[in-house]
Amino acid sequence: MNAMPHRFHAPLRVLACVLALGLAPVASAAVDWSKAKEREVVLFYPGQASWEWVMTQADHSGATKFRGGKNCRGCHDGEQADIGAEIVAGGHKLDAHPPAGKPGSLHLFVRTAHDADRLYFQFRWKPGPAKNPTKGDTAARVTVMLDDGGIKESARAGCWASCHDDAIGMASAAPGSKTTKYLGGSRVKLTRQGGGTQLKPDADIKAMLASDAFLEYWQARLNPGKPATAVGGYILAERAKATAPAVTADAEFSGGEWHVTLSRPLKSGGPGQKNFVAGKPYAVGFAVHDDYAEHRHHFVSLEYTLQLDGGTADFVATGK
Amino acid sequence: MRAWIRRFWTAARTPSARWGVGTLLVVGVLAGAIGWGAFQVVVARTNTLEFCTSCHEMQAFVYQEYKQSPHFTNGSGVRAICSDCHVPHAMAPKLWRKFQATYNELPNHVLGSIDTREEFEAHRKEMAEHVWAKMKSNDSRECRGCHTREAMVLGKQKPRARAQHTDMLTTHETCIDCHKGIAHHLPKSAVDEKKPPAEDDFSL
Repeated sequence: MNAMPHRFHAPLRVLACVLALGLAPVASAAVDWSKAKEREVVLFYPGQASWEWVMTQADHSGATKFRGGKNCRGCHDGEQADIGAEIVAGGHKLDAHPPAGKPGSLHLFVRTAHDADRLYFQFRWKPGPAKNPTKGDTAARVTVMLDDGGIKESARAGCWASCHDDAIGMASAAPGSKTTKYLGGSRVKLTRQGGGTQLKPDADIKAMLASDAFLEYWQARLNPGKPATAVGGYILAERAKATAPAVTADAEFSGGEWHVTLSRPLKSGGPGQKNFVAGKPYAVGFAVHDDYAEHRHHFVSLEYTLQLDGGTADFVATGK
Repeated sequence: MRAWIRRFWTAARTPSARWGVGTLLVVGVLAGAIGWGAFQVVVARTNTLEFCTSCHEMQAFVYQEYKQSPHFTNGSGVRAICSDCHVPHAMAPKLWRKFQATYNELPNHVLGSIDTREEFEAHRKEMAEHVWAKMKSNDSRECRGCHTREAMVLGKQKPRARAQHTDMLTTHETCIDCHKGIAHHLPKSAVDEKKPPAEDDFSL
């Protein structure tokens, strides 16, 4: 092995480098991050606030306003840290027993950009105190949820479009339930307790998938000192993994912060993936599962917007 | 009775043979001024925090909750006392409210309708709803004695407040529609009871 470099001629070395760059799946070096404006997004601990909770006046005094057309951020932008602090204080109706020592919020810094082929999200955040005694197999996860207008709930309430009262750990979850995230449109009827197990016929679900009526998610699973694992998939009748995996994740823990880049080709690689094109408005939401958190014990953002190459969205991903 | 009234009427119409017109005028004006002054003193005295909390039921229940509220102590050091919110500020409605108190609150105080915590809690919802209905019907008139839309700088408010106060201009909502339970605790049934939601449609 030691003799190998001596056998490489200079032109070959250059060629190898070019090839390596060209083949690298997360060639974020191709993106000019200097032009990407970083935005701070305050994520907060939501307790058991489900979509149904949001829509019920007796639980959420803003339900009427929300039903009348207001988005979550229309009332709660700027209050995220306060809301989280109130819920983790304990004895709250949305979580009587929050995890001990859990902070109420997490500051996530987000940049986004694209090149000719891929859309990128770059995240950085400082983890909260390590308090979780049950260390699982993933120290942290960062997720972005994306929609291109197929799910109106997502433009209005971000990730809450997929968070229901009967999902794992939520207020109406049946004991031992394995219900993950799903969309209300996949169920025959939604009640205050969620959509239950009565799904719409298969043909309807397939039609939804074909007509972009799903949410896509990209996730990086992180452990210090190990390469990140990328997970991509979509949410419709349940949380499903992509049939044609396309998401890549690059991560590094340095300076007391996680630095993560998630990316995926702009072009849809098949069912369950959105097409990203300039001019079209997208809805995005972010979540961080910090300190080995599972399921609902995460920090979530309210709803944000994304556009490519200009526009008035919260995040504008510009090309080179 | 009729004879007495006739006698009074005759006396009132007969010019005085003993007192000069000037004397009668001065005495009359003085008596009027003293009467008006005394009346004002009574109205003012019955508008004080001390007077309102001099009754056991107000002191033991209502006052204790109010003392925890920002209308009692706050960053700016301005205090709104009971009468600021519960007694109209203009003279005619104020007198009407005082009159109402004499045939509503006073008899119930004498009868001891709300002597215990249990009795207070049993009536809390009904009393709160009365006040809410009254405030709704007069466009939160007493709130607006201090809080006016014209004096509000929306830019200094949190987004939630800014959005609601902007909406208020077009929705004809009034202060009490949102600001219930700000000086007293909300009736239990309004917060704790898991009432079946009025909405049964959870789609947008």
